[in-house]
Amino acid sequence: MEKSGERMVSMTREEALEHFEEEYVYKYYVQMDKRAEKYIEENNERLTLEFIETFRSLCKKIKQMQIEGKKEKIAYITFSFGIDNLLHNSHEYMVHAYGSEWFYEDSEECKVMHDLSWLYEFMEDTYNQLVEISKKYIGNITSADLKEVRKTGVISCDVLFRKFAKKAIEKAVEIDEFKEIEKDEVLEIRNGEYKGYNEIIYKIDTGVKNSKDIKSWLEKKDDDEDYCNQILCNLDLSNGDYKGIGAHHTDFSGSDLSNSDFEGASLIDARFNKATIDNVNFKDAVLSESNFSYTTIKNSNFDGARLSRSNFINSELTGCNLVEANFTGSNFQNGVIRDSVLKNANFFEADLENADFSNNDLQGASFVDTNLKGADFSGCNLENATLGLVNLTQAKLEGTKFGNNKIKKIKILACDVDKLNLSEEQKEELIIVDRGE
Amino acid sequence: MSTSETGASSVIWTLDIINSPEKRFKEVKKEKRRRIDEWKRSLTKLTKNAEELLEEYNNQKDILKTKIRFGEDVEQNQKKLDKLEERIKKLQKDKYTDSDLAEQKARIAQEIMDECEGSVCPFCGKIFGSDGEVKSHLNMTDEEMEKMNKVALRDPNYRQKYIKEKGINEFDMDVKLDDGEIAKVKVGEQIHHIVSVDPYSSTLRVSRLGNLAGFDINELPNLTALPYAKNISDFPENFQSVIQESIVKNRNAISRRSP
Repeated sequence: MEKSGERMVSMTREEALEHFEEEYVYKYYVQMDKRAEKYIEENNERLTLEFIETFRSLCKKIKQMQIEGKKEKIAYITFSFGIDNLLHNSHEYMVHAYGSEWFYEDSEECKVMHDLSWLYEFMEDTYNQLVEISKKYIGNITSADLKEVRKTGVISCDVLFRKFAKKAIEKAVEIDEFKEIEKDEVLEIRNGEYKGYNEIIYKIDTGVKNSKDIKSWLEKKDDDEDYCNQILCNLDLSNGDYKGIGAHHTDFSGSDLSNSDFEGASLIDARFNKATIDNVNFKDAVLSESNFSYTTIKNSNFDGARLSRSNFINSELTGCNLVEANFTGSNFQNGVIRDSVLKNANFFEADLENADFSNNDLQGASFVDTNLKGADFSGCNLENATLGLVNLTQAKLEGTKFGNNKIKKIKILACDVDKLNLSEEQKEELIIVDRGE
Repeated sequence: MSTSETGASSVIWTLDIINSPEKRFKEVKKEKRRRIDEWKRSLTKLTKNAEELLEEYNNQKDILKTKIRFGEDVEQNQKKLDKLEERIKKLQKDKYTDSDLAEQKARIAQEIMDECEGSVCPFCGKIFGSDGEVKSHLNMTDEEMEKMNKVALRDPNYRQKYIKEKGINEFDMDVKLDDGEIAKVKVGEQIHHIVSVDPYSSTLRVSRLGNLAGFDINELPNLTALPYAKNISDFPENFQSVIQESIVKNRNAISRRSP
């Protein structure tokens, strides 16, 4: 410590700033994120209720203003931080409702505040620690630098809030007060900096769309067109050439995508709930955080597709090519995969609780930190598969073929040990339990 | 037909004058819509690029996490993982502060100026085929035209500029509340534009005239420091307006404390 203190004295201002940022600022805020994420997870229900109440009070205000003729149909609702406020200890977000002219609107302001003290406490704590550390740099870290440090904290809070709000808003839009307000054909709910960078967290589009027009618009794949955040539900988009399209957060729910080609497409956070997916090519597509829950997928190609953190709850995949597909962190609870090839697929941190994977080719697949409670691997070929830090005691392994597996700390029933064909050395990695233990 | 002081040399028909406010209102509405769409598109592009980069980082993170869980080069891989998480944090910040976005906003605004507003006389509202025709209509030099048609944008350093010249006040103040309690208020100042940047810069006709008159939206005459309670959220909502009012009333006292 003494040595590093000496080093800090001899640093130029640029060196000091770089050192401070590299060694402390980002590291500390990464740690802050982890603490805040844990807090959000533990208090999600209460925080969501508070969020809904704020949303309710905004809707009531909108309704009242609409009755009084002071507010037109709502096209934008924004949850935003004003950088000036946040730099000076305000822990509240502004929640505004606007008509179609958004920031250009000159009608009466419609605003409520949302208290985020619970989140900003994490930031204040981290920021104060960083202020203390900055003093070690003997005047090389100025108050202007610390303003930037604080801004990094404010932005970190916004990113955390957005992640939370994206889920909370799904519940908030269900309240009667929201249903009762007059809305524009397209309504966007956004979050970010006031009059600065912001993102859509929810969108409603009630406009009537023509399948043919939408299909040819998508097929144009024009760089200047905005295919992200679109609501393309219940349309006939079958036989389409959508190769390489970028359509993040777009909702294809209920649409017919049969025989379409999405090879190499970027479809992060896209929705496909109850879409018709038969003979669709998703080869090498980026489908992280996508939602296929309650969806039947047939004869489709996901070879090399990135499906991390995706939702396959209660979905059914039949006759699919899932070779080298990446399902890291994905949720397959109660999902079914049949007659499919999953060679070298990756299920790191995935949730396969009560999933039915029976009779599939899973050679070389990887299951590390995977929840396999109630997962059915009967009749599967798991040769060359990696099994690490998993509990196989409640997985169904009747007729499962093992061999040449990479093993690390597996909990397994004594009666299943022999199925694994392990060497004596590998057996040391097993935690063997009797049934009922 | 006489030439006005501005140099305008052609007449405007009465019918055009009657019609033009309505026409102009529609045009402005259309223009606002176009700007919002352009801005949203630029935001989406920024978000999309960042998400794709983030996806790459997350992919690398997953690989490293798997290796760590498998006990492979734990220390080394943990270091790599930490670095990656820091990079993700930087990426998140860049989205908000990305100069591309600011540049893009400036570019869009200037494009609108060049393509649409530039061919309109800011004095009489007559629409010409090009800005060259406006130039001869107003009898102006190239430099004057350039000065007039420059979009007014927010200077990111306007706060520092004001504070450097005029300083800033921060002090504690006691405010007597309706229930007789004394609120200990921490007063600070925020720097504001007197004429707000966004409506000014988007009302191109006004800002062109302002440019000609030598008005700079970011210069000291258009900046002011307004007092506010730094700890306002510490007080119950029903007292907040009283506190705010007291601070504003006390503004003269604040001014006297200026350096």
